[in-house]
Amino acid sequence: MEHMFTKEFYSAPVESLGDKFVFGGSMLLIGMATIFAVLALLMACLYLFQVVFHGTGKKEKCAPKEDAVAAPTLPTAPVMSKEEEIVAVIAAAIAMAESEGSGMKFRVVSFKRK
Amino acid sequence: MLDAILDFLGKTGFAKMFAETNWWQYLVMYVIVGVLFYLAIVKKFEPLLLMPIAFGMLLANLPGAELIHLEYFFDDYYISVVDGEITGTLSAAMNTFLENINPALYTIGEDTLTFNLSALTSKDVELFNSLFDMYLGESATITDGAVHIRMSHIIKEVVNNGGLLDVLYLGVKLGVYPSLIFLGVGAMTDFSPLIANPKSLLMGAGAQLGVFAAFFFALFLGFTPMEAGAIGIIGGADGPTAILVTKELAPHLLGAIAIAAYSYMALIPIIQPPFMRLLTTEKERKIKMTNLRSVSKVEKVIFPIVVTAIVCLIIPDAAPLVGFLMLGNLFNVSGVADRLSKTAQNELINIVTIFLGVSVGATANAENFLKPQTLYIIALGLCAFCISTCGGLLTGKIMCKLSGGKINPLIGAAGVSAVPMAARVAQDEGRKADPSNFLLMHAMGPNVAGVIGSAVAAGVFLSFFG
Repeated sequence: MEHMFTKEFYSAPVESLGDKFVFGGSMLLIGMATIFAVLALLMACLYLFQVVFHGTGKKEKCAPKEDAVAAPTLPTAPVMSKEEEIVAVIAAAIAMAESEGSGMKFRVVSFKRK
Repeated sequence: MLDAILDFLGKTGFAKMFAETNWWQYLVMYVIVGVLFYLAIVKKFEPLLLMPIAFGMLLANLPGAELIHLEYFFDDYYISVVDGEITGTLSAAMNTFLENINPALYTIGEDTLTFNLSALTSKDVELFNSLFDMYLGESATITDGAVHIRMSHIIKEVVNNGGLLDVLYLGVKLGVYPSLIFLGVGAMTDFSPLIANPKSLLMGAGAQLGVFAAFFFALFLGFTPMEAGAIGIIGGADGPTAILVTKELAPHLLGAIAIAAYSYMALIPIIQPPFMRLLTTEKERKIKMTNLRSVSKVEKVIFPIVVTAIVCLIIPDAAPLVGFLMLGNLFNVSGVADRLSKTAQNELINIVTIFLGVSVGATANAENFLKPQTLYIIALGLCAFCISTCGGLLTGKIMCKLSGGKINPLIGAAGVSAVPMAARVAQDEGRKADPSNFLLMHAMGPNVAGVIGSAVAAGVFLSFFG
C-alpha cells in the first residue's frame, strides 16, 4: 500500500484493479474524514461564538432582532418623524390645491419659523 | 496579380483548415461552440461564464490565428520523459545546448530529441543541469528523473513570443483568477445563516461525497490519480475551485473540466429535484424550520478570521481559495472598507470573469478537446453532481432524525455549493410540498458551507498530488 502514496504512482494510470479499489477507497475515506473533521471543528467554534456572544441560548428568544436572519417579510412603510410627516401632509395638500381643475383656493394665514 | 491573390487565399484560415487532415475536428468544435452560445444566450445558463468560455473556444479554433500557445504552459508539450528518456520539441536554445554536450548522450529524431539519461554519469548530470540552466534561460532542472521547467521560463516565452490570450492564460497558470473570483464571492456572500445554524456545516461536508466518488470512478476509466482528482472536484460545484485544482493537477483537461463544471452548475435546477423527491418523503419536505437566531456584527467579523486560521493551518493548500474568500467577506462585514467591498463585488470580479472565461475556453482546442476522455469527464462530472446531491440529502436526513424532525432534509442538497442556485432549488422544492414553507435562508447555511467544503476538498487533492 505504501507504493500508492508516491509521486510516480500519482502521475501514471493505476494498472491493477485491486490498487484502484484500495487507492480510490482510501482517498474517499481520507478526503471525507478530513472535510468532516475540519468543518466539525468550525462548527465547534461557531457554537463557542454562540455561548460567548449570546449566552446559553435561553436568552436568545428575547435578543434584539436587528440582525435576525428570518424568512423574508413584506416591506413596510418607512418610519418618519412627526415633523417630516407634517411637512409631507402640507406639501401634498398644496400640490393638490395647485393641480389643474381642482378649483380649490388657499391663503397662507400665518407662517412661523422655529 | 493572380499569384498575389492565390498567395492571399493560401494564407486564409479556410485554406489552413482544409489543408489539415483532421479539418473536420474544427467543424465539430464550431458546433460545440454554437451549443454553448445557445445555452448561454437563449437558455441563460450561467451566461456570464459560458459566453466568454464559448468565445474563447471559438478563438482557439480559428486556424492561423494562433492566439494561444499551449506549448508554453504544458510541460509535456515542451519536454517529457518516456521510459526514463527525455523527449521534447527542438528549439533554438536547445540546439545551442546540444552543441555543448557529448553527441553520444542524445539522438535527434524527425521532430523529437531524446536524451539517454542512463548513459549519464553523476558528473554528466551536473554538467547537463548547468548547461540546461545556461541555455534554456535558467528554466529547467533534472530531479527524480524528470525535467521540470520553471515558471520564469514560461513567463519569458509569453513575454517574448506570446499574444493576448497567452498573457491572460498566465492568470490561470499562476492561480491568480480563481483566488480573485473567490475574493468577490466572499464579498457578496452572507455567512449569517451559517453562523446562526452551525450544524449546516455538516451538510456542506456530506455534499462533497460526489467529489471523492467521481475520483474513485475516474481511476477505473483509466485516468491517473492526478487527473482523477481534477475530475472529481467538478462535484464540488464550484468553478474557480475546479479551475485551480485542474491547472495544478491536469492542465491538459482544463477546457473540458471547466465547461463540464459550469454547465452542470447551470443545470442544477434540472439535476437536483429528482433526487430530492426520491430521497425524501412528502412529510419531510413539509417540515417548517424555526427562524434563525440573530447574528451580531462581532460574530460576523470574527468568523472569516477564525475560518481562515483554522482551515489554512490544517490544509495550507486551501489557503488561496479560503483565504481570499474570507478576505472578501471581511471587507464586507467589517463595514469600514465599503469601497474595497464594492470593487471586489463588481468591477474586479467582472473583469476577472471575462479574463478567466476567455482564457479557459481557449484551452479547449480541437486537439485537446475532441478525445474520448472529454466524454468520460462529462459523464463523471454529472455523476459527481448527482452523488454530491445525494450525500447532502442523506446527511440532511440523518440530521432530521437526530433533531427529532426539526431539520428539513431538502436543505442538505444545497450543500453542493453553487451559491445561491442550489439554495433556491431547495426553497422551490419545499414550497412545492407546502406553499407556506420558506427554506431559503435555512438552505443558505449548507450552501455557503459547501463553498468552504469544496475548498477543503481541493486542498486535500492539492496536498496529496500537488
